Amino acid sequence: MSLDDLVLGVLLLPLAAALIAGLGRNLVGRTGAHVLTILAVALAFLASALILRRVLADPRPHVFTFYTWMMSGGARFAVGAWIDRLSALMMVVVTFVSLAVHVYTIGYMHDDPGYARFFSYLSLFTFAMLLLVVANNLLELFAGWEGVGLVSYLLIGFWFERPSASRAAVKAFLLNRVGDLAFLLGMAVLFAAVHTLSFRAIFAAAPVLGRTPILGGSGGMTVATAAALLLFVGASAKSAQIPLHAWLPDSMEGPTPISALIHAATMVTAGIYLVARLSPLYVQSATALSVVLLIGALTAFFMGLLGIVATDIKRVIAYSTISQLGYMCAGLGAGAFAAGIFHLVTHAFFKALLFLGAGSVILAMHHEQDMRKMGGLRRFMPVTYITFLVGSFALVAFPGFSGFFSKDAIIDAVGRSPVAGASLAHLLLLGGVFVTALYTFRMVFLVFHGEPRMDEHTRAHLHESPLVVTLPLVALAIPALAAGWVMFRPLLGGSFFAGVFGRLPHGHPLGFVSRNPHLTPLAFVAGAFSEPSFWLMIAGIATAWYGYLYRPAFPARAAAAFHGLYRLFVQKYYVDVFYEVICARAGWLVGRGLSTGGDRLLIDGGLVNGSARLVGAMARRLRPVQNGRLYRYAFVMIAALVAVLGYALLT
Amino acid sequence: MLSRDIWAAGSEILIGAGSILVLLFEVLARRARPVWAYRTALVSVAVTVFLLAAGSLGRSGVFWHGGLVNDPLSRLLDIAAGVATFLVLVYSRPQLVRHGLERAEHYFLVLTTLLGVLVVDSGGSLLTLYLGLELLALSLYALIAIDRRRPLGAEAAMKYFVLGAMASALLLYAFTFLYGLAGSFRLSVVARALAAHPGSPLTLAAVAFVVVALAFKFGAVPLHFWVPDVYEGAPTAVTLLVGTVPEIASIALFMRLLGLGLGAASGDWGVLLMVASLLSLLVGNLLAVVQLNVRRLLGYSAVGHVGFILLAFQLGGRGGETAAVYYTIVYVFMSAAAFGGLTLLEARGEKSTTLEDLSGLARRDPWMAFFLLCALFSLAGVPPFLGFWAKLIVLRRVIMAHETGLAIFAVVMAVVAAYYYLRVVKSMYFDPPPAPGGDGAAAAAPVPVFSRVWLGINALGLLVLGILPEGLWSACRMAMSHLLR
Amino acid sequence: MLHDYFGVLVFLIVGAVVGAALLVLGFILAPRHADPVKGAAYECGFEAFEDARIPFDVRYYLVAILFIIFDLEIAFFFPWAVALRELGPAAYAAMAVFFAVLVVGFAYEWRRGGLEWE
Repeated sequence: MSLDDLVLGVLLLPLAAALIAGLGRNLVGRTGAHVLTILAVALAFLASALILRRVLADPRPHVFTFYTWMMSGGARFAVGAWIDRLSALMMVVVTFVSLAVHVYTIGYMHDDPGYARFFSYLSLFTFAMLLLVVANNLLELFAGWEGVGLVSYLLIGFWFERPSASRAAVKAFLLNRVGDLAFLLGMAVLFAAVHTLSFRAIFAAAPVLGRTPILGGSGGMTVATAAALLLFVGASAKSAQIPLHAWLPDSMEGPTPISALIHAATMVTAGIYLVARLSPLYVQSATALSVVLLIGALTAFFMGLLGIVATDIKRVIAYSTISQLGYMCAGLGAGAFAAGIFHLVTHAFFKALLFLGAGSVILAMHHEQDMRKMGGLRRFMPVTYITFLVGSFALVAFPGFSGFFSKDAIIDAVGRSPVAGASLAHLLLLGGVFVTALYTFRMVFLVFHGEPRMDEHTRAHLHESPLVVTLPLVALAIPALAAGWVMFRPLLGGSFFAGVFGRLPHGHPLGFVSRNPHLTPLAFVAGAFSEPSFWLMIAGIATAWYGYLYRPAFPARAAAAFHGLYRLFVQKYYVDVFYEVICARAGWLVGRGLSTGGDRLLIDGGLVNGSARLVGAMARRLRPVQNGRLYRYAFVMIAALVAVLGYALLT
Repeated sequence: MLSRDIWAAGSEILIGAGSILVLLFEVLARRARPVWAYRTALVSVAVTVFLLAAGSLGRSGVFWHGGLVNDPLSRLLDIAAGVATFLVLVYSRPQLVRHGLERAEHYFLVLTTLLGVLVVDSGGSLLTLYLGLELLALSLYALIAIDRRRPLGAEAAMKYFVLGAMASALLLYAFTFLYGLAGSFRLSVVARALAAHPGSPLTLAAVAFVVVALAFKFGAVPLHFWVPDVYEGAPTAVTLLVGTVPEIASIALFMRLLGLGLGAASGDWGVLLMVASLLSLLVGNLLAVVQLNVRRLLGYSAVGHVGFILLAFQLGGRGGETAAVYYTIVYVFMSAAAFGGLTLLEARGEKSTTLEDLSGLARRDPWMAFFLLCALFSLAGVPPFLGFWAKLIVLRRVIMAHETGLAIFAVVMAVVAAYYYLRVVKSMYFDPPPAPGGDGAAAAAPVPVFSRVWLGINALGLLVLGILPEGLWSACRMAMSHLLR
Repeated sequence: MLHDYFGVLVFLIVGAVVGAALLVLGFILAPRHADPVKGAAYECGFEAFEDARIPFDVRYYLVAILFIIFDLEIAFFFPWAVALRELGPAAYAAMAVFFAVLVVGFAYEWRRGGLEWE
């Protein structure tokens, strides 16, 4: 099969499965829905693997155009594919995690009345995400971008009869709209400058854009900076970076498989992917890179802190996700695109694993998510416990686990980056390591260790989850453990992503690897023990152990001692309050003003009803002309003829 | 020579033979059910469309001493007219059967209508254009009056006949001028003669008469009076025909007669058409707003759409004409879906006369309501329906000609149009159904699946082609770039 | 160009003059005897002086229209028959088709009862 056929297959299989399972759910039934969608996604995964093998043999980007959607004013908008190692790698990750989540869902959603609908959404999401990944132009990417946003909205609000789920869905949608607007503006800036949205043209024009001032002036911001910053606002909404992060914790209202697939492993990384994809544009703007770096580092540290006080198991993982996305962002901002993508891949595996593990726990606890009511679960759920532990070690970057390779590469790269603000970012990221270890093991100890704190009834029914749940856990635990060893050298050694990313004009952010071209994963692991990040991580685990196993009373005392700080964390830095009180209230006030003054009085009263009245009055005036009498009609006809003749002959 | 000419008229001959066959059924087997006439008509139209589309009929060239011109435009319009007639036949039969109107004559007259359209489409001389036009008009007069029990139909037919005869007379009169000027009926000779005598009073008089006659045929203001009365008065199945197939002949007439024959005088007719276009937009859309009768509403809205078509046409030049042809074809299929929906509703035993009759339709028959919704959205020009692209292309042409004022006026009128289309949608989807106990709900009968499926294809086609608009548009551009005369 | 129509003008004038002259001569010369029969209805069966909006019997029109159709066909046949030898077999075939269509129409109207008065 040719490469473009494969790509089309990868795209269309999940779409077809989603349509059949969604629209024909009465036809195919529950079993039909999951068999179809799983089959489609499994085939898509196989095809993605084949595509990856092809591009491993031939690293040049393969660009196809499937269909010209429209031609407008000389600009061509097409649907196509840009297949290189970055997109192929993403395809494999997306389809693999999606496949695991599909299988897991059979068990998790077993008793849900919306079973087929859920599978339909899952497959639809897979399609949209793949479209985003393979796009060869910004418009197509945006279509996938909006597609995943839509499915995310649908799935957060999957249990729409819960008011909190509906609210969370709307919140996610609204905050993403802010980002989407910026994305659109960014596209507009690029389109105005390049007159097309195809990546090829944008990449070719990037060096020029880096020198061209925007708005035709002679100083100030360049086109590249403006476009990169606007697009990054879009990316930061999707990837939950400060200050547009607030929707992600609330999105945990959705069913857990969704939290794993969309809000941890794939969709939220779309922003990261966007920046990496457009890296030739980003390296043209030092300003944009600095912003990306600092936003990422700030998010990584401060959002991690919130994980320490959260009590809902899924929310802890959600904050951890935001924080890890911050690491990726920081990596990109430092110019270490390969390290950022590396972390994206490893994170996809171990975070999906953690979420599915949390889901398994929630299932066993009869949908109880409060960690204060858990404890000691490791005796009842050994498989869940071990896999969860693997995920946790990967998350805290314990040497040897996958997360270690990618995260330490980022920290190291930021420490050496020439981008402005790198030293501050480095400090924040190091602090983040301690925080990550603290909240992760606080969660592990609270859930799996210590005394069981659940009620008798729940405790009596505790048991390990069924095979469809544990199987994906094991399947994800393997890459969470081993992916780093396999991917470290190709991804960071520079050969895999050769030619994919833009390069910084000066300096090389992955200095330590290029200085040691023969650095083996083992040597990297061995070197970790002399790095501060390792000891910070150990300190974090130790603190967690002290506070939550050794002296369980300690956290309460600490919270009392640092009362203000504690409240700040519990209130999530008052960001929600800010949005609700300031933004929403102000927006509401402005809206009410415009509504009564502008809309009802001026537009409705004057323009709409006024013009409608005008239309009605004119129509009433015209109406009697058509009186149904034949001679009137004939007369008007003759009159028209006379008028036309008179005009024709007189002029 | 002769056989070559005969083959060139293959599509016309096929349809003509089909109509004779329909009549023969009636003569030879009076006891035979009219369904055989229906099937014969359907098959002859389908075969003709297929052969035209496959390129086996209508070889390009000029035949019959210039009387018959086959070019890509005539083929495109023939196919459009054929498909529209096919849909009309499919939609109308259930309604005819239910109301006891199904007679072989009906199908015969539908076929002769189509025959008239085909002749006009490839008319290369004044004579063939007139011949086709009269054949078309005579068939329509008879069809409108075919249900003799309804005085409304007879009245509409009477009005249409008298006014149509006047228009025909004017057209003939104009032809005498043109013949006097050129000494030939051939459009190419007429065009040369016109170019040789620019601005002669004879030309101006001819232009004036032609414009008035053509404006009548299309139903442009102030010659639109027959439109609402006929739309309301004719039997529903005939309104469906009147609102679709003849529009193809109208644009063909405009293209052949004004575009190709009188192209040299485009400065003269351009202004006249512009005035007619603005008046049509204004009067058609405004009066549609105050209608409560759905068919009358659609009649006035047809006048508004003609305003759009003329707006593109009056720009002169191939660009505007192409947009006009595109808009007309799109309009015909939107209109077919809208009237088809109403016709099939009547076939179900419901009334579809007033807005009230339609209220709550979405609950009674969600699919039918959805098909009507597609048609109405498309007529209103809501993206991504096909009607949106038609409006967009016309407006783009107008703006490219630096007639921004006209474009703004047209957009404002399109907004007015959106109001009354959406009012129908609102009635279908948001108003409570009429109180039960009426004759409507009790007598509801299933509509044949065949008709429903075609309506679905038609309505969803408006959506699908709207999402993939490139094909039809490039077909129109292709057709308009290889014109013969 | 108007020059070309000069003959027409002469024809019009001559026609008008001759027509008027005949009328005037008839008015002057003809003997006049008033008779109620002369003012009575024409043979179509209608009163001569009456409101124009009276109901007509539609059968009258049917027969008249059918008559005109076939009358016109004769007008077609005449020049064809005269020139048949020069026109050759193609014209014969064309007329055959024309005649066949006509026959179908005739058969239709017959079967439909268009020729029966009652």
